[in-house]
Amino acid sequence: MATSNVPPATQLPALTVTDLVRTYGRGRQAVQALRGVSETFPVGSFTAVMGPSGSGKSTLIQCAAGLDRPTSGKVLLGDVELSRLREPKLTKTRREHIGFIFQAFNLLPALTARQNILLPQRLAGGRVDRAWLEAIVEQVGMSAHLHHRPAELSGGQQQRVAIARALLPRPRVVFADEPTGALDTRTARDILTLLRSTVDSFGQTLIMVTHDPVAASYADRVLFLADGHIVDRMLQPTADAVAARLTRLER
Amino acid sequence: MLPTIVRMMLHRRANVVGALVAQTLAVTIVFSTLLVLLSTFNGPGVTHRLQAADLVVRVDPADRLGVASDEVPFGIRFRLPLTIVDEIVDVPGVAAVVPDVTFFAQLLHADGTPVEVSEDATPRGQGWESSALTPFVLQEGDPPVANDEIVIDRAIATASGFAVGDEVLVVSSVAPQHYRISGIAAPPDADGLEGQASIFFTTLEAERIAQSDGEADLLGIVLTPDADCDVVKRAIEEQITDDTVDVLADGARGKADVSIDGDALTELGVVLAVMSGFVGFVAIFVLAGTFSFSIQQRQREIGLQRAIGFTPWQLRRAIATEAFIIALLGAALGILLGRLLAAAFVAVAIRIGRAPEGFEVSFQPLAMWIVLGVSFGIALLAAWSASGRAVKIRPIEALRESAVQPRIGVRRLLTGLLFMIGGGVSIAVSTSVPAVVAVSMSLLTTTCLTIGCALLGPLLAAPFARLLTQLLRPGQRVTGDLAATNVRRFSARVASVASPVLLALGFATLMFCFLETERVATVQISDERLIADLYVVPEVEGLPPGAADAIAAIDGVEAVDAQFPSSVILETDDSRLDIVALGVDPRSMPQTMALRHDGGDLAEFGPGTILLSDFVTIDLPVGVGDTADFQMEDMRTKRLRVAGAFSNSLGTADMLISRDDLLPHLREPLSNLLLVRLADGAEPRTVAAQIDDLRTAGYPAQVLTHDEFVTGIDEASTSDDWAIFLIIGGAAVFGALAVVNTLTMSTLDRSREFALLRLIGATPQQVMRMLAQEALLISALGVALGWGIGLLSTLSVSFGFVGDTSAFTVPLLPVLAVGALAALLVFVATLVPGALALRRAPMTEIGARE
Repeated sequence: MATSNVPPATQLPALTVTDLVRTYGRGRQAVQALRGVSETFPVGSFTAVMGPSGSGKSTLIQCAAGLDRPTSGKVLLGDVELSRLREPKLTKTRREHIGFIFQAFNLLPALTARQNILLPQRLAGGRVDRAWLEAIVEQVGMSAHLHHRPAELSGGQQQRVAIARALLPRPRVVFADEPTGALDTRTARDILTLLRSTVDSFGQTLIMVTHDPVAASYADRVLFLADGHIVDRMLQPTADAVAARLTRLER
Repeated sequence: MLPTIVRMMLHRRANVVGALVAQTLAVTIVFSTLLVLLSTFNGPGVTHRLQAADLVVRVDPADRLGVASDEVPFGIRFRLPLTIVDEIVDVPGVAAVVPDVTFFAQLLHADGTPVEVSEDATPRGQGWESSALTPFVLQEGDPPVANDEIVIDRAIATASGFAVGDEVLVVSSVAPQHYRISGIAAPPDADGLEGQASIFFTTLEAERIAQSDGEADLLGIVLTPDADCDVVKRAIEEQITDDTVDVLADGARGKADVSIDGDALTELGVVLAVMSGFVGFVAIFVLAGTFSFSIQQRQREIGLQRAIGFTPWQLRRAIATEAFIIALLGAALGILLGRLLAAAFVAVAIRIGRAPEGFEVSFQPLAMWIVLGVSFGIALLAAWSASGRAVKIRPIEALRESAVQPRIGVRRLLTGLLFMIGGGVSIAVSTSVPAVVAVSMSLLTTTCLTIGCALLGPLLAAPFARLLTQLLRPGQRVTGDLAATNVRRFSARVASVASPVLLALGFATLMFCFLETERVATVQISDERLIADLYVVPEVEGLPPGAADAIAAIDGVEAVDAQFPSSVILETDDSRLDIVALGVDPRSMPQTMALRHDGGDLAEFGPGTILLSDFVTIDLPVGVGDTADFQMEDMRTKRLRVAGAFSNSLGTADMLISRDDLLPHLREPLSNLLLVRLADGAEPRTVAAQIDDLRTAGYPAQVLTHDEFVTGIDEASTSDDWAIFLIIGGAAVFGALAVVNTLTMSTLDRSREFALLRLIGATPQQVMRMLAQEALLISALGVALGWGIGLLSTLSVSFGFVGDTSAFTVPLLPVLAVGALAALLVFVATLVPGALALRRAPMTEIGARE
């Protein structure tokens, strides 16, 4: 079932970051991970964020997802200014409007796949849309494994469960931090295809940090970061073009 | 290899610190106990009373009896013949030889109430020459010259208001007597001795009262100022022909003092001996549990090590090395702390009168070796057996990002079941064994059930959690379900944490219920056994035989039975058995005590025969109808025949012996209770008043009715309670510390799990609520099991004392309080580390490895 939760084109962008600066430490030891990053992420877009290590890509994601507070600058999630929110409002906003997928250790070992998927929703106290749950579970292809525990699932299967969990609350943005980093090429491809399909079928906005040019090629566009700045943008990326650009960055 | 192991240990700090803390605690407690225990063998130290005596000469009871020094029965002392004085008075360096006897003697006020200086000051009389031993210095008046003159210490003078020249009534083990106070004396810097209220008589009068003609309890030797103590000591030893006679110097001098309660030291030693064994068991239990728990926590690291090439054998050796390091550090720290704890313990014990004032803790190498041996032994044993299963795991299983709980081994299951069955059997058996055995079985029951529950813990945790969450239906559905799932899935972890709780609580519950049940049983049985009309309780240490005669002369009194407590020894081929005995009048006894017949013919009790309680006929190789030689207090033997046995002895002695047989052997015949049977038609209150009047004649006592007396038994603080409190309390405290330790380790270790919860949308409050509900489940499990074990074990106690469950009593307040305390401990130990773990930024936590 392909449902689009994309409202008319005149809507707000899913996410806007303005002049984001993030400094760690103080004085002479200060490290500037982000030196003023501004970008807009439209609804239903799939963006890959890339750069050499130390470029600030993980920091950007964390600030944008409300997991870290920028030193200065603004993060707008739709019309909510994330950077102004305090706990517990921040956590509540996050669990309703932001999904997050990690590279590894995504699932609670004590719970079954189904329980893991439902957990954020239950933490928020909302009611579960059964039809939507079924749709997602089928989309990620885990209908037969709902009652297994993480220990009984392969790496790829665990990521599928993590994706389903991220999608269930119908978040405005889903962030993925190196989601295929721990997987073999074939499984990685399956996961990337799945992620692509969520954008195409459900209109999900997706922002993915990766170092893999192949993974980046699944996205609509790529942001290249270096030394805390956005240094380049690439639309309709191919794996080769991305790889070439990356090499030039590292030089 | 070693540097690598150390580096890995440093990395896994929390885990290692947890094991180290447990090790240190175990060593501290066991070492301090052993230290004090072994120090008691040095003797009570020097008492103030004998401080001026540089050397003390006395008979060593162990040598005289021909046994080892720890086999000497309580309160046994031998007197020295005064001929020894001639042997040593000429030894160079000896300034004076002072023969010393002490005995019970107490002043009465004009109205017949006893003069009490303080609760700790035992009233004692001595000959005036003994004043040189402290020394006591005359402050007013003159020393006693005539036999009816006495000198009292300043403390007595202040407490009584008496002054030099006053006539006073003095009670002792001979007939009460009037004396004139000829002087008041005191030690140089106090009003009197702390542990003794001193009266000084003339030498002759002291001899008369103490019946010590030609003898002394000890000789105090004062040396000339220039004399070398060691040289003179050796010279004296050479002069003395009797080799059962000792010359004591320095800290050993206190061993000779009969005026202090040297029994306190022996009692302390016995209590400590039991305590070491018991606390040792608890320490081993907790240590083994902590080690195996810490290895459980390291499942993933072990898998990694297996994956990079450690063979199981190499891994076990690495784990054993680590255990060795922890044991070493823990032992070193524990010995230091244990030394401090021992000193503190002794200070408190002296303050509350449970240890002699001069007692000191000394360095005991034996204690150190024992503790080191046990420390290393346990650490290695525990680490070895726990690592056995852990290292056999296939590497890839353990490396999975999701934590795996190994299945509970069949061996563990079976062992656990075995112990549970053992506990059950113990209870069942206690219903049909003799009384005294049933009481000791209660401890066995507790031990078996505790070990069983600890081993079966994981099995019990899961259904318990399910049951409890069904019952409670917490308002917080999400967090409650999370908590319940965590408890069910990680039941091994839960069991590791709940075990110390149920251990400490089980024994604490048993302790409280035991004491209460014993009290109820004693009252019940005493109530049934005592059938006299009036109960005369002395207000001093005891009343001489003349008191009974005085009471018998009162109109309306049909019979009086004065009870004289003593202890006798039965020597068999392999041991000496101490029996608590009571001297009674066989003719009037049946009118004052109703004994429950348990064999033989109770009517045959008279001179030459005794009655034994069922508590001792079990232990003794003599039974009804047998004749044996019993050793009395003065070490002379008496041949007696067992005429019969009785079974309701709780609250009184185990052996009844005729007064006429016993009294000649008592140095100080003092009765501690007189039972009075009234003639028909006699008015109890009138007779009671007349008995009370006898105090002015020198027999101060309280007269109670049957019910008043029985109530008094109920309310009397059983002074033995302190021993049980100490033993079990020590174990309970240790258990509590173990709970905190294990829980802290376990919670800090879950920081990644908390981080993940935070990242997928749980607020910190929700995580804390989940932890709180886990704590609820864990504490409910531990407390329920602990209470259950304690209560079940108390059943044996009731059977032991009264033969059925009628005495089974549960003191609700202490038992509930202790359970609440245990639960509180679990909560605090979960939530505080939880809060700490939550303070870390979730993103760093999730990325962090171990």
